[in-house]
Amino acid sequence: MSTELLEPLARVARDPHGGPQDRPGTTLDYIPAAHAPVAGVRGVHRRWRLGRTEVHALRGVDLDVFPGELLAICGPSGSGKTTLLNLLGLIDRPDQGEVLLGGRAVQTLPEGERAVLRNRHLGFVFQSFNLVPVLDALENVLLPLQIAGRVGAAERARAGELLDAVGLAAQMKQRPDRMSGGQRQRVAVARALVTRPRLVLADEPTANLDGESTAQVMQVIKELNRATGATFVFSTHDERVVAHMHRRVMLRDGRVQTETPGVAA
Amino acid sequence: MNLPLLSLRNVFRNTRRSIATIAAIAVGLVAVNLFGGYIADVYRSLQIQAVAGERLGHLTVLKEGMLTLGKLRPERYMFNAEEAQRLRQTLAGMEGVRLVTPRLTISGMASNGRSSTIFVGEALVPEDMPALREGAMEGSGGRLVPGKKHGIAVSSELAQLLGYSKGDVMTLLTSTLRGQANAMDGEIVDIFDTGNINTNDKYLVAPLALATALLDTDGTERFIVLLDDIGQTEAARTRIIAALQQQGLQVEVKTWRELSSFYTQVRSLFDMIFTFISFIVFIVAAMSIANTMAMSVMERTREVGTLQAMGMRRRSVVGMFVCEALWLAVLGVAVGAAVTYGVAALVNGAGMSYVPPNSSVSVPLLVALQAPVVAAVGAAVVALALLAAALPAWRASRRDIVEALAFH
Repeated sequence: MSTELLEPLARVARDPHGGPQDRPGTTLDYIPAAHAPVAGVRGVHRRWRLGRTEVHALRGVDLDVFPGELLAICGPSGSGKTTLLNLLGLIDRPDQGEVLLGGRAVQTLPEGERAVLRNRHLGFVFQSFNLVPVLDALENVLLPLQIAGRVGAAERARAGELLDAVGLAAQMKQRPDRMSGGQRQRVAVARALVTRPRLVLADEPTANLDGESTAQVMQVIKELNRATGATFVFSTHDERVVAHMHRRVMLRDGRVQTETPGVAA
Repeated sequence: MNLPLLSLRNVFRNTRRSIATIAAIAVGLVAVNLFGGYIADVYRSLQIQAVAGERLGHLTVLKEGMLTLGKLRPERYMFNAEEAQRLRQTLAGMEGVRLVTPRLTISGMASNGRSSTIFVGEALVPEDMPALREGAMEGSGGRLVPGKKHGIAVSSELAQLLGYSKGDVMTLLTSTLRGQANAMDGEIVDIFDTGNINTNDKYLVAPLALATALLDTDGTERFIVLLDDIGQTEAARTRIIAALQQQGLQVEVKTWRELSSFYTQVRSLFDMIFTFISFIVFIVAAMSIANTMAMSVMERTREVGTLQAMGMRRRSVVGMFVCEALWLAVLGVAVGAAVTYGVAALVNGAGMSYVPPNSSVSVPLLVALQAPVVAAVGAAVVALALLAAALPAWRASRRDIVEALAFH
């Protein structure tokens, strides 16, 4: 991977200030104030039923995610990291409490409307990359735009620039099965950013990567965060990831135990 | 990457399974289409046999009651000379009517002077026979010689039974319509095969003049009507009945289908078999697609979860899988249609023949593919495929995204 990302990153930057940029006609028809939270949760509870046992995954969590920050949600297995990420990502609903996106409570919106919000305002990076194997790297990056039904020359150019920015300009036509784990995850990062989302949610993005790939992926994410102002929330217990974060929230037994500035802050 | 293209790529994600599904659809379609083509040729042959071979024409005009009470007292239900003249004049001027010709049924004993046997037959105007026999197989059905008032055509086994050959004179004994015995000689001008083992030892065709003399009548039992277009049969029937009623003639008009019970019976049997085979093929095709789609949905659970997380709507998930089923069905139908036409060409070029049940002659084995039928069967398979894919696709779209993303 190229370490000289500044030039391609400059092309994918969204605005001179690096903040989120809304498009006309989106469901959220307002732009949050400069330091208002991009997203957040208020007093959320989430319970699961496993057979006869009820698992109380989240027990009244409050959290704000601010524009342009790199936030790590840490904690041991079963602490509620992924559940909290799923709520922020609008792919799950709380049993109690509010989920906010751009200051608006969105937990009760119908699924169709939530799907539109996810497509326009959220990006996802998964532990297992979750690329579509029949699509090449460029097509995978374009997928969220394809889902939104808007793929033109400008969108293709942006997807290409993002792949360039993550150091995969030469692999645009390669399918995932011919790529390394680190390359796949960088494609996933480009895919998450192609719609210029308010927030990118990354669930243990380095869990399946070796040390070198982890370093490459985190460098790309940091550069993109710096260049574009993209906001990232990570669910992780990987210290190599946490080391790059602006803020760290520690969960334990479904509650926020500590909230501390990250090393990079 | 639009939806149809993405679906096509997904179809070949598991090539072996998709090829097996496409092959199952194609083989089923080939079976249905070839059988459909075979029975279409049988129907075509039977139609020609009925219209031209049995000389039923397209329509038969009888005096009302002839087919029921007329069997006991035929003379009362025959057209007299004046009625026959009126009828012919009326029909001759009608649009779409090509020929109107009288026909008489005769029966009695045929003798060679030493032994006798029964005969049944029909009497026609020899000059009208070429038009009546148009399309019939060469040599089938008997041929009369125009101008020869006593020239008869005899079925091969009847001629053999009495030791006759062409040119010999056969004695025909009948009762006149008034019940008197009557006998006349007929010169054998043709020996033919009726194509039916039940009639080939007793059938003959005689000139109308000979038959009216034998029966001692100037009446006409029925008129055969040939049309320009067989497709106009029903419409012509309605017009003929109305026109003759205006002339004061109370008639009943039968179509060739109504009079050819053999055609009707064979058609209903083959139609039932065709329906049964089609049903089985459709079930196999639907199950193949449903199975393939169910497997595909299960294997791609996490992928569907990912797509939905990225904002794909439930209806788009359903559309994606249904589109894949559509590809499988369309490819199966395309391969099936290509193989069908290839095999049909081979069969038709092989010159195969067979002897149908109850027949005394062999007939060529041909497949007359009907493009509309091939298209309709294909369309039915495609429609069924979409239905078969709908349930697994719907299930995929309703799955919880979090569960789907955690699926292994």
